[in-house]
Amino acid sequence: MMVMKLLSRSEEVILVTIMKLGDKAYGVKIREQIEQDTGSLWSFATIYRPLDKMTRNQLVQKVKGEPTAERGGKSKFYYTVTPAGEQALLELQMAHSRIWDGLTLKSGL
Amino acid sequence: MGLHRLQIRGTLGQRVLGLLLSPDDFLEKSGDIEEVRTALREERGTVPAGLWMGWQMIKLIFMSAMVNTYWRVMMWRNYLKSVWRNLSRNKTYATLNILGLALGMSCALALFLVVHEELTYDHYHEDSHRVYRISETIETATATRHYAPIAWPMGPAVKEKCPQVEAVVRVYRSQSNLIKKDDKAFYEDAVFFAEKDLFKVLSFTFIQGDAVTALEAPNSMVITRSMARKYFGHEQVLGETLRRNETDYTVTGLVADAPRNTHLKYHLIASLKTIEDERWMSNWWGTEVYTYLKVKPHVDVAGLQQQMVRLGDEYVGGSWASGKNLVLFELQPITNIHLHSKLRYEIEAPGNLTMVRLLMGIGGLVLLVSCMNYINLASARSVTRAREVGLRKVVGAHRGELIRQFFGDALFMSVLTMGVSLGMLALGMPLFNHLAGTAFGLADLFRPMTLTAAAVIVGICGVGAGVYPAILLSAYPPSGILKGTATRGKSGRSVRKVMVIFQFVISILLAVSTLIIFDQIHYMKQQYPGFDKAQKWVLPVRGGTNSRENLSEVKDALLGHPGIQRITASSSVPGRQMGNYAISIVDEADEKNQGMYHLYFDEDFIPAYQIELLAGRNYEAGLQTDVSDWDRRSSGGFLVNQAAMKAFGVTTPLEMLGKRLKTGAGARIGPVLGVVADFHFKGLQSAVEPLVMEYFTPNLDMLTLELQTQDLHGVMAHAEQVWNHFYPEIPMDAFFLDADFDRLYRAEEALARVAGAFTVMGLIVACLGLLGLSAFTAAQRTREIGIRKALGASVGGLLVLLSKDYMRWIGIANLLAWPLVWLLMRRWLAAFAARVPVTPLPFVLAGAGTLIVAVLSVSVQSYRAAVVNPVKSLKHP
Repeated sequence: MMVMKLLSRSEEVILVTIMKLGDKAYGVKIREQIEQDTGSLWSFATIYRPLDKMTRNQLVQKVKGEPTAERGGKSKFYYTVTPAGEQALLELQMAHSRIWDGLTLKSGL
Repeated sequence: MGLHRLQIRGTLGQRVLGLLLSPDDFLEKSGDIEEVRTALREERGTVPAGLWMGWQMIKLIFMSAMVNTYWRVMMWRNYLKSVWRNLSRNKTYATLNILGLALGMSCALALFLVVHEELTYDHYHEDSHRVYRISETIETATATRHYAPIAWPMGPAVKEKCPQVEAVVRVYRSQSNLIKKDDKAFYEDAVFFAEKDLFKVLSFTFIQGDAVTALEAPNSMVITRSMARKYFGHEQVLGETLRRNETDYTVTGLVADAPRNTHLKYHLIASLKTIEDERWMSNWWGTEVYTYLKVKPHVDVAGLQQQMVRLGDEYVGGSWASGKNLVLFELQPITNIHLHSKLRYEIEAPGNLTMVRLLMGIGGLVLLVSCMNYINLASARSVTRAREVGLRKVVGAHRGELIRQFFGDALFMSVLTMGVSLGMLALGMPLFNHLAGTAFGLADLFRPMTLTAAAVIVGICGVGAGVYPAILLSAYPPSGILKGTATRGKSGRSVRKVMVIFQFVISILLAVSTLIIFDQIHYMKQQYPGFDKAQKWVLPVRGGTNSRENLSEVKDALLGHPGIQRITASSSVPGRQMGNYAISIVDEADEKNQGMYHLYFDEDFIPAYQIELLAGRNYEAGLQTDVSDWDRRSSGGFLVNQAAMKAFGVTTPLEMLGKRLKTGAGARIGPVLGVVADFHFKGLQSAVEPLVMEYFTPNLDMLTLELQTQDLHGVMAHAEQVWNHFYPEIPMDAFFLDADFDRLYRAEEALARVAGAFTVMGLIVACLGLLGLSAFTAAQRTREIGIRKALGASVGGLLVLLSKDYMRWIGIANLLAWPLVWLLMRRWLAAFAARVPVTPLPFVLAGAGTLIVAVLSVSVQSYRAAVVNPVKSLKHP
C-alpha cells in the first residue's frame, strides 16, 4: 500500500469549507463559515498559513476577482479546490474510514 | 515590486506586511482584514476594531516572517554549506583564489584612497561651489603668463564694485619666517597673512578664539593645534605671544590642523593689517597676493567674470609698460585648484591629473586581473561543480536559482576576500605610504567613504567574477552531467586562454613601463645638468638677517677650514625657487617687456658651479662697478643664458654682449657682460628657461660651500661654530646640493615606485592564477600522463607537453603588450625635455622576466604530475 501524505486538520477544514462555499470562497467568507461550523473564530494568520501552503502545493487555486466597492476598489481573491485538492480530500476520507473501521464510540450525548 | 512597495501606505503593520508579502498576497490579506474591520467598526466602535486589526496584523506578520525566513535561511544555509565544502575540499584552490583576489582588492582600495583624496581637494569648505580664487593673466608681446597671486588692489576693488560678492579675502604668503618662542626657534614655510574675512570665505575649525575678530587687529595670529604643541607644549594659547622674525604677535585663535586635502596648508595665519603698507599694496603691477572670494547664492558667475575683465581694463588695461601688455582677471573655482590649476607661483605644487587617472587605471587593471583569476579558476573547476549542478537540477532547482547560487558563491567569496584584504591593507599601510609618499592611517581605512568603496568593489568583483560561472555552469543539462558525458573542462577553454593572455598583457605592460620610468629617472640624474652639483653644501641665511652685511667676514671665517675650497653667495641655487620679474632690452624699436627668472650671485658663483661662459666675462672680484646698486638704481651688468638670449631675439652670444637691459619698470639699467651656456636650474623634465643673472647684494641669502675633504664632520662642526658666532639667533638649516636637486624628481620617483609595486602585485596575481590553472590541467590529464609514461615518455618531455600552451599564451601576450607599451611610454616621455632613448632592453627584460616567472609557477605543478609513478596515475579514477 502506498504511503499517504495526509492533510492536516486545519487544511482539511479549510478545503472542505472552500468546496462548500463554491464560487464565493474568499478569506473573509471562509473564516465566517468556519466560525459557523465549529464555533471558533480563527485568526487570519491561522487560516492563511495552511491556505498559502496549499496554494503552493496546488491543492487550491487562487483567482483574483474584479475590484469591488465594498473593499474600496480592491480585489477579492477567490479560492477553488483543484482536482489534486479533491484527490487529497478523497484520500483523507478513505484514510478516515479505514482508521475508524470497526470502531464505534459510545456517545455520551 | 519596487513600485508596489512605494504605493503602500497605511498603518505600520500594513507597511511591514507589504515588505514581507508579494503584491497580490498583500492585497488579498490586508483587504480581507480591512473588510472585517469595517464591519467590526459598526458593531463595536473604532477603537476595538483597530485593536483587533492590529492583533491580526501582528499574527500575520509573524506567520509570513516565519515562513519566509525559515525557507530562506534553509536555502542559504545549504548554499553556504556548499560554498564552504567547495573551499575546504580544495584548499590550494581556495587559498590561491582568495589570495589573488585579496591582492587585487587591496590594490584597488589603496588606490581609491589616493584618488579620492586628490579628487576631493578643497571640497570640504562650506559652500565650496561658491568659493573662487582670482587669477591674473598677463599677456606680453612674446609670452602669456598665468599667475595665481594677483595685484594687491584687486581684492578691495572687487569688494567695492561687485555687490554679488559676499566676501573677499587677500592671503599673502610669507617666504622667510623664523618663528620663536623663548628658546624654541624654527623656520616655518606655511605662514600666511590674511584679512579678517578669511574665515567667511574658507572653512576653519576653531577650537579657541573668535573667527569674526581673530584677524582684525594688527599683530594678531591664528595658529594650528600642532603649532601650539610645538611652541607652547599645550593648547591654552589665547593671549600668548609668538615672535616672527623681529615682530611679536598675540595668539588670537587656535584652529584644527589643515586637512590633507587643501591646497592652502596653513600653520600660522597672521593679520594682514600687521604688514599693511599703502605704497606697496596700491601697486597694480605686481602679482603678489592670493585673493579668494565667495559669491552670494545663485549669482551669475559668468556675469561676475565679465565684470572682473572690465575691472582689469579700468585699472590696468593698456597702461602697463608702454601699453603692450594685456591684463586679465579670471575666476577659478577653489575645488579646481589642486588638479586643474596650471598657474605660476601656486601655493602648493598642484596635483597631477594624469597621475590620478593613471592610478585609477592601474587599480582597475589589477582588480580586473584578479577577477579574471577567480573566473578562470572557477570555470576550470566547473567539472567538479558540474556534478553538484546536475544533482541540484535533478532534485528540482531552477536555472534561475542556480544562477543566483553562483552569484551568491562569488559574492560570498568576495566578501570574505574583502575582509582579508582590509586586514592586508591595514598591515601594509606603512609600506604603501612609503611607496606612494602618502600619509594614510587606519582611520582613513574605516571611514564611511572607504567602506562604501570597499562595498562597491565587493559588488563589482562578486558580480564580475560570478557572471561567467553562473551562466556557464547553470546551463549544463543534468542528464549529460550525471552520465559523465558533459564537456570535461573543455568548455570555456578559449575564454581561459584569452583571460590568461590578457592578464599577462597587463603585467608586461606594467613591467615595461616601470622599467622605462626608472630608466628615465636614472637618465635625468646622470645627465650633466650644465653645472657641477657635486661636493656642494648650501647654507641658507634666512629670518630677517641678510648675509650681505657681514658677508665677507663670514666667508673668511668659513674659509679658515682647509676642507672648504670656495664660497659663493647667491639668491638661490639650482633646484630652488627663483624670482620671476620683467626685463627688456633698452633702446629697441619694439621694447619687449617679458618675465624671466632672475638669479643674483657674486663673482665666485660661475667658477664654483662650473658654468660655461660662451662669451664675455664673469664678474670680477673687487670691481665695484660690477655690483648693482639698489639706491642708485644702477646695474653693474647682466649675465644671461642662451635661452634668455633667444627670447630676446638675438642669435649669437657676441651680438648679445652689446645690448643694454632694463629691469622691471625701469628700475635698473646695465649692459650685458656675458652669455653663459644653458644649465638646468629647474629639473631636467622641462627645457631650460630664460635666466638673467646679476651681481646684486640685497638678496644674497644662500651660501654655497664647495668642499674638498674626507673629513665631512670636521667641516660641519667648523661651519656650525662660525654660524653660531655670526648668527646666534638663527638655526642652521643646511643641505647638500645634489640631494636637494634630485628632489625635483620626487614625483617621477613616486610614480615609478607605485608602478613598480603594482607591477609586482599584478604579476603575483597572474602567477597565482597560472599556478591554479596548471594544477587543474595536470590533475585532469593524470591518466594521459600515466599512459604516456607507461609508453616511455620522459619527465622532460611531459613538462614541455604540460607547459607549452602557457608559454605560447605568454608569448602572444608579449607580442600584444609591446606595441601598446611603446605607444604609451612614447607619450609619457614626450613631456620631458631630456628623455632617455627607448631601447629594446626593457621589453626583452620584461618579456623574459614574465616568461621565467610563469614557467616556474606552471612547472611546479607540471613537474609534480610528471614524476608520479604511472601505476598510481593510471589507478586514478
